[in-house]
Amino acid sequence: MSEQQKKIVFRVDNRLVHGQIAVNWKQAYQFSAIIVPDNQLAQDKLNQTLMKMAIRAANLKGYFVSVDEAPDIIKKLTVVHQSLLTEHRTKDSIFVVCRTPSVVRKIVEGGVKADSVTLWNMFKQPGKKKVSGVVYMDESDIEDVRAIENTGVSVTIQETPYSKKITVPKKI
Amino acid sequence: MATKRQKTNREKVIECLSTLSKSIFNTDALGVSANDIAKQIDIQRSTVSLYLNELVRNGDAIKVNTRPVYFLDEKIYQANKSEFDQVTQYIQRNDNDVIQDPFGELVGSEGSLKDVVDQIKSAVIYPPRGLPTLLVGESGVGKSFIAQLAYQFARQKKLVTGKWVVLNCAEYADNPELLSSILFGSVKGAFTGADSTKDGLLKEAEDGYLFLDEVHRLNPENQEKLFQYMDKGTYRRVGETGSVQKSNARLIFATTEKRNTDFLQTFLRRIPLVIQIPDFQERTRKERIDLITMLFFKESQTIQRNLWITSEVVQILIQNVNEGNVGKLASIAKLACAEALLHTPPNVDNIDIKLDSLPNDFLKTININNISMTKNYEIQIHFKSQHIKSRNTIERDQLYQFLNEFIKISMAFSINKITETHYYKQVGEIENQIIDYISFDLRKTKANAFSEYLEQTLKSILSNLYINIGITQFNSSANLLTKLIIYINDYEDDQEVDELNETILILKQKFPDEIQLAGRIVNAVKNQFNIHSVVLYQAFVFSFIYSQNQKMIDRENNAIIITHGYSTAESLASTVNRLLGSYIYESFDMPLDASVDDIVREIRAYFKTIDITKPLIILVDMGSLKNLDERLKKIYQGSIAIISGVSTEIALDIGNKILQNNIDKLALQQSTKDGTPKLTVIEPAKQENVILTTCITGIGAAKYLQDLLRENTNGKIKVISKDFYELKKNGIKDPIFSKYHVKIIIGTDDPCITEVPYLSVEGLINRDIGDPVFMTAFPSEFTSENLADMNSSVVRAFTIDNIANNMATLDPTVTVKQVENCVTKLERSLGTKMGVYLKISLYMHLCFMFERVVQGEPNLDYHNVRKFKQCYGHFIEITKDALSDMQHYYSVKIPDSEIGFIFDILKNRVDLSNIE
Repeated sequence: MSEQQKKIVFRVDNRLVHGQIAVNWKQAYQFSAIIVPDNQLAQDKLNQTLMKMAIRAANLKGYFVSVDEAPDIIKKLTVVHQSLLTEHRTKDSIFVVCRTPSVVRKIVEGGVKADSVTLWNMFKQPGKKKVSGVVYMDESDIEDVRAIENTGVSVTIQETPYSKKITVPKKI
Repeated sequence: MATKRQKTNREKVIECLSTLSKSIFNTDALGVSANDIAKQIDIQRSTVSLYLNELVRNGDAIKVNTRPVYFLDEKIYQANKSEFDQVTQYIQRNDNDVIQDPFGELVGSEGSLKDVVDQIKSAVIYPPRGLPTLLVGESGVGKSFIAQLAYQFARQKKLVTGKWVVLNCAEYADNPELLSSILFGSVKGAFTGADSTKDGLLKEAEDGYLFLDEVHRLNPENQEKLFQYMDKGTYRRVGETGSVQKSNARLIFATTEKRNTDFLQTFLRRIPLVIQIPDFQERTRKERIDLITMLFFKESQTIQRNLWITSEVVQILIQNVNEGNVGKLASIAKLACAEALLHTPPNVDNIDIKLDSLPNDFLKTININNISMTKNYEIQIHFKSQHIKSRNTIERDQLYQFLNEFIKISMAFSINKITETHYYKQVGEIENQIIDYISFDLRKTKANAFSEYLEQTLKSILSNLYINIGITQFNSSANLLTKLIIYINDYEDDQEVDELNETILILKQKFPDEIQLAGRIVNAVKNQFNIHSVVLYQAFVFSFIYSQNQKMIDRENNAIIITHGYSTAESLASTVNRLLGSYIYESFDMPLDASVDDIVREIRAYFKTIDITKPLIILVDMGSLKNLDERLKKIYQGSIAIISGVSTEIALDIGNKILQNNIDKLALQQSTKDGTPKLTVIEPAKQENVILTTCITGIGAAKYLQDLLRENTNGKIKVISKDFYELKKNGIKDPIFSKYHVKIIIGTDDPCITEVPYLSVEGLINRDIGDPVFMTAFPSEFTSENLADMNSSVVRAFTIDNIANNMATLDPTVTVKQVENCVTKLERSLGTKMGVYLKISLYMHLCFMFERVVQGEPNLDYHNVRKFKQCYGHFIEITKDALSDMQHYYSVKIPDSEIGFIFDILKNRVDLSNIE
């Protein structure tokens, strides 16, 4: 039952969790947990520590998991436990930060229903072209975005929750 | 014939004060001095002052705080204010002076009743009308007295102006209607005989306090009415239907009932503050003696005789008063004095209170065992001079005697009358006396939660000291120190001690480390206890540390005793240490089934606190500690001698040689020549001290660390690197450990080699973790300064590593350096230090921000820039200021929106109170 689930907000950011993510996006979306599915980070205790500091400062819970584990964990976290006082049911959302669109794709294809996907901080790399601001993409990124959109969610480029949304072009 | 009773001194003083107060109308005099009164009625001035101060506390006299201090009868002053213009000025001017705390009169107010006093004071102060409070305690623990002190305290704080009204609910328990009319009042015709409307006690206590004793005897209807009053401040008189009455009387209740649950459940729910008052038996021994002394002192003043209370009587009273507490104790004291007075001829001043003076029914119930014949608990009270001699005063005198001896030798040392060695020896002697006194003469106080807590605190302070100050106090006697501090706290008072401050100043110059350490310990104690004289504690703690500290005499050896079984090594070591008058041996008691691994683990902790290049002498009880030498060789740098078959004799013999710095292989061989002791000597391999770096992702990071360390230690420390997987597989057997003396392993993952401390890259970044490891491993190479430098290089490198791949236009190395300077400036203007992790976050954020701004794409979407500018204009200003160099360098302007994002990163993680 989809009404029984918390909203799942996806964010693509090469830098994963940093001060802005924890503070500004929480303000806008009122989530209580951040999930970071990233194979590299799951091994990197030091950067995890750094990110945990930012997460803790925003009074959030953080989960660092590998991409494969992510769908299961996200599903678990999004179940709303039926409480006796149904009208007081918490309706917060959870926030998933991925390094690249391909990670988002793997997770949504793993059966997780995304409510929104936004992109920022996709840094310049050989072969990638500037789309807007700090978003550089190549054909495979575009392909990932299409695949995500096929699951019924729109993908937009947005710097902060208060910024203008920009559509992802169909072609580079 | 009705002879008039002789007036007591107290009455004489009151009378005289009143007469003299009247006599100074229309004169320039500000009041009556204690001296005036003393002359007039011919008793000692100090006695007069005592009573006068008591009168002031009770509000019966006023004090004019001039020099000398003058007093006036309160009633006379109030009635004739116009006559005392000058006095009024003085009093008003001095209103804010510290007035004596009424709770000072309560025995134990700074000890076992401290919590109670704190709680009740806060209940009194609580705005607007204080909190209704329930005092629970055995009958006679002093509930009424404490309640009354609360009232005096409220008066003193000018929170109440009304009366102190008391009602004992038990008196009317059989007649709840009557109780109700007494408490709330009644209207005319409410019941037979109610021929006029009367106000109740609640009205009488208007602006004051109503104290309901034995409140559990209040019936439910009356409780209900009282609750209504507590909730709304209104009530109805008996028989009243229409109107309601108002009062603002504050309420205090007392009950002995802990078990009557019916009563308690309702009451506890409705009364905000319930205070449990401890029984007599829960008080400290010192407080019990004080209490007994105080009660007999009151009697001595009433009967005007000197009292000698025998040691047995005092001990019986200490041990056997279980129920009835203070009230019971007071009545026993009274009866005993009456009994003794009866058997004393009228012209004899001294009355002995002996066993047979105690009331019979009390004697029947008690247990006369456990009475010490050797310790003297006698209390002597001299009624006229009010001089009291009791065990408490003896113990107190002893404390100050120790202190004076200590001051005497410290002064002698300061003028070079004695040498440092001599001084050390003498301080050690005094300290031994103190420790003996505390351990053997003072009755052992049972360890309670408090002393355990104090001991834990002291232990953790002591264990941190090696790194910070370099003082060795391993396994040190935190327990003894705890006892010492509790002893001082029990008996110190605010007596001025000659030359104490000078002594501390001198010691500060001569032994800065030890005094600093003593200061830290005293500070920690100060947080737990009420301390009168900080310097007094400093002196004693210093002498303790100084005499216990083996580093004082620069000995060339470390020595330890290891035995199996409970406390064998400890008693052996302490015996020898005491015989030799110096701290030579550290002791390790191992369980009978302890393995060599267990022993090595214990010893390794000890090695961290000593200089491990000096020769080490180990005395063990049996030769079965196979491989111990091989194992120790790996973790100890100096040569090691192991002597098995330890005995007091051999420990003493070797200890003596150590003391004379007269020990070598030959000397040891001589000591072990005859008999069973067997000697093994291990010479250390000549090994170079190195840091080993290892890295899962290859040699790159290891190489980087190597350069970094070399740069920051002028190449004094050799850094080698080793493949992680090989290291993990081989463990301590890896050839690298026999070739080098590896002091630290630094890496991205722990190879789990327990013999060598491991430092993760995270530990390298976080100085709280890293610094102690570096300082312990290379005490002479690393200082706080070069570690700080090294740390900022690491942090910078780490930041660069994180951003380098993602920056398009700016040079990460240059930008990070610039950003680093900006953040330092920002720290200074905010007046706050940022944690290392926050710094890294901020470095990265600022690098990206500058890149955005330089590329002409600043983030302008801060959610509410206008409000932010309004509230945090100052923050924007100083942040822009801190960033000004970089703004110039790149010729850009940072928009307020971007400052907003910086603010968001900082707001929950640093103290921004300076800028609000």
